[in-house]
Amino acid sequence: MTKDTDQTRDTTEDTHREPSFTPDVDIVETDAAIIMHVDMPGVAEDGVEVRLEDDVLSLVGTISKDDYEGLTAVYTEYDVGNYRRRFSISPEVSAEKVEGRMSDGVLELVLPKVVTAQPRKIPITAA
Amino acid sequence: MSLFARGLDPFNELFGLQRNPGPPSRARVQRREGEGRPRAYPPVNVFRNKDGYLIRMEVPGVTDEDLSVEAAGRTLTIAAQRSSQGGEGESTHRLERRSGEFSRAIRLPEDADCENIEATLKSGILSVQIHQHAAAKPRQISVSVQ
Repeated sequence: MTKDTDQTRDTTEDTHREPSFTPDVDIVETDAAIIMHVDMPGVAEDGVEVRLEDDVLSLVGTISKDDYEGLTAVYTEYDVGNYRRRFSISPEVSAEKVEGRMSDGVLELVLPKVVTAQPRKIPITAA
Repeated sequence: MSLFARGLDPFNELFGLQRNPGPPSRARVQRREGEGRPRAYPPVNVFRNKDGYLIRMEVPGVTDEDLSVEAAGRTLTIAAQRSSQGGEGESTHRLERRSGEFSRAIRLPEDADCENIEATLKSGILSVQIHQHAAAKPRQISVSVQ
């Protein structure tokens, strides 16, 4: 259904000036839609870019560097940077109806399925 | 000052971090897996700024209601919980995000003013500002010429 294509991340040469990280994601599917939750801590509501092109969903989250002005790190357990991840999406998703919402550093994406892809119950009438 | 004077391994003992097992992504400690270090979640970064110390913790998806920051003596405890995805009528493709209850305990340095701590939550990052005791801050001493 949704296949991670970010294996390419290891083999593709990266020309970005700054490191970017692969965000953690949850993907669940209901009869009507595929729902994704993507952890992008540090990314504000306007810092996320979602593109769906040729069945490839690209997510880019950009953090605010101003939050790190005047700080000197003394102990670090995680690296700070932007987020990037791509997924190949099955054609049964209706691209123009994808909705996204960013809150508390989590991107929620709802990818509705085209109606024909939804399971239908076929009534059986007794003869 | 008191941070480095003790000559401790910063990854293990600098702030006396109590660790929970489990892998944080992007974590520096995770890369040191071969060294057999336990991994902590949620991951913490500690900075110095002009006011003292700034502790940052990544807590995406956690609201202020599900977060508690407590200072008892010189120990700062941050606890958070996050509900899991996946409910009835849903099939799961991927569950990489951690859910449940988390907590970290951080021992504050001696020059920290434990009465003067502010916590803010922004875009899934908790920032805890710990002020330094005025006495510990560098002061400019004027030189008088006689």
